[in-house]
Amino acid sequence: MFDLKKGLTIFQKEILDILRDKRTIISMIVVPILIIPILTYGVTWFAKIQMKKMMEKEAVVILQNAQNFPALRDALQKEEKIRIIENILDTTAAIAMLRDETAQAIIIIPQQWDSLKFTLGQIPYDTLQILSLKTKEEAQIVVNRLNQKIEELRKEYSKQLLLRAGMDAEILKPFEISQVDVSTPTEIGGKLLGMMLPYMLILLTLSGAMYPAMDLTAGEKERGTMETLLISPASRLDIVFGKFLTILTVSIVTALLTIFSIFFTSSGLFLTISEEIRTKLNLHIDFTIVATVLVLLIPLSATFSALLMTLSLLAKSYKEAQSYVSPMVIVTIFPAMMSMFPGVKTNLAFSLIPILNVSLLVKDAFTGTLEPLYLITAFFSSIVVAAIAMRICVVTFNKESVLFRI
Amino acid sequence: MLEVIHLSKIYQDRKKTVEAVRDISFQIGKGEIVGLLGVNGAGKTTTLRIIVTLLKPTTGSVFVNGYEVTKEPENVRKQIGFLTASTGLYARLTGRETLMYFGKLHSIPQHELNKRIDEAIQLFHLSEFIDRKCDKLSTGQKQRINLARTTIHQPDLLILDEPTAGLDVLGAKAIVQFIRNVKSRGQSVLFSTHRMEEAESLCDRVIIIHQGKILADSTIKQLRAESGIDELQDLFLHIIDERE
Repeated sequence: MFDLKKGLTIFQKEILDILRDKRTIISMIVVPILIIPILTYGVTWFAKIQMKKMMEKEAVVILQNAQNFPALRDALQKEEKIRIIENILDTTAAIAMLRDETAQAIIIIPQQWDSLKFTLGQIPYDTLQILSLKTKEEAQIVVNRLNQKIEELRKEYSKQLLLRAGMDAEILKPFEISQVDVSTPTEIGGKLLGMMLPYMLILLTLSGAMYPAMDLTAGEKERGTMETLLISPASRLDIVFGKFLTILTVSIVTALLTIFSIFFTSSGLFLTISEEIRTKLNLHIDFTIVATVLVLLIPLSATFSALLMTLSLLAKSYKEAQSYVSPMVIVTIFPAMMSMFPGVKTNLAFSLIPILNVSLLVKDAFTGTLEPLYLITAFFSSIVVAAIAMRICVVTFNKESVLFRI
Repeated sequence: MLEVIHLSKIYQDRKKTVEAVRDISFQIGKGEIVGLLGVNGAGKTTTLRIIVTLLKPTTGSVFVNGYEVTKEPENVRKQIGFLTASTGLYARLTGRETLMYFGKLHSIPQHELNKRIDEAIQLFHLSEFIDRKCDKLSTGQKQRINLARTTIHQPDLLILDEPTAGLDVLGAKAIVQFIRNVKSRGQSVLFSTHRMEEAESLCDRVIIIHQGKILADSTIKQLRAESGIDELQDLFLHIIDERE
């Protein structure tokens, strides 16, 4: 017999108990509110500093046979923070310098290269080689600069050769191409959030439910308090209800707090980007999005809570429960990531598949392409899955072999 | 008060079948203190767990104040208080919150519950630490909170599974004193132990259980008279050898 009053008494006690646990406070409140902005800003700040350092550092470029191509030598000499070394003619020795990072790139001008051909209006048809180590980020920045410089020279030569042949350089560009993006800033912002947020939302809903699910079942068994509760007049159903409601609440609160934290953090970062990009992007969350997220989040969270509770119940200790629930993360990641895959669109079949439906429909809500029919089918399919998961949980809770692991 | 009728319990899994309790029957009357004696693995804990509705019997039935354990488990649980040596307390709740929680689960009205908590504070000398979180309490203090928790709903029957196991002399003495007080209030007690001297000092009657079967259900005085053995340990071993 189910007694709502007893179920709510258990819920109240579990919430009080779990809120006094530092681990819950850390995972439910501190992590989403503080760690996400700290990490995001920290990583961005660190990346900026590193980039600045790399840009400010003098790059060393080994130029072999520089005398054959003086125009290139002159152009590179004018470049800031690039030092040219011309006396290393042995390529093996030069490559060794790339490895020990005393040089970042080698430009090999062929022996037979003859710059005079340019002035005579002839085409040399030869190859300039740029050697670098792709594994070194610093070297790649230098290579990009070199490529840019050489490309400018090449264009200049093409222009001159065409002029000598009596042709206009414009012949190389018979027409212009103009690409116009007609997406609104809200659509662009929605696409960005719609790619990332469903994945985060699903994983955080799962991780939010994990700790209380293990603590309220396997943890209680381990601490010897489960027996005390089982011999109280509360029925097994009352106990499952109270514990389930606690896990569900913590899971939803964690997911929502994290989403708001991610949103505010990205909005903050958004302010640091250039004015030009900012006018093209609008990170926008409206009522439809919030309502869709909630409609899908509650049954999803209920499914996770019931499944995690069932798995944790099978364990004798908190540690054992951890090994039972961790495979759930792997099972969840793939359907949760589907929103990031290009070309995957919501259809009736997908809207029936748990987790995948949440991933795709939350994305649709952000991009403004939400189909009410799919939202309804996804909601009811999630409710059915949640109900099955809860039924399994109640059946498991009634098994004495599970509760006492005889 | 308590009637155990042809009770059996078989644990079964893929590998083995264990007959933990084999067709046992006994009764306990109002205000009676009965000791369930047996070596480890005799079937004491299984029997007690069936009575408190934690386990279901394979066959047979158990009635507590007329309620059958499998048919009305919630009503049975209202009649009993259960304590074991391994019973834990919620570390992050205070003693008062613990008593309040279990009182509410027993549907005791708030004003009555406050009154009973005050009485428990007096009876078990809890005033110094009642508002301290349970993980900050000593073993003895936890034990007193646990005793108050076991009796907050004023149960007619107390089931105590090896209540003194792992306790020091003072802790064990407190439990013995508690059982004596319970008897004076007219409540019945069934407690399991393997300490013969504890059984002798407290019990009106003892039930000796071995390999799931009841070998004796009598007073210690009568068992002594029947066997002619005075020393308790020898008496216990004699009964096991003779009646097994």
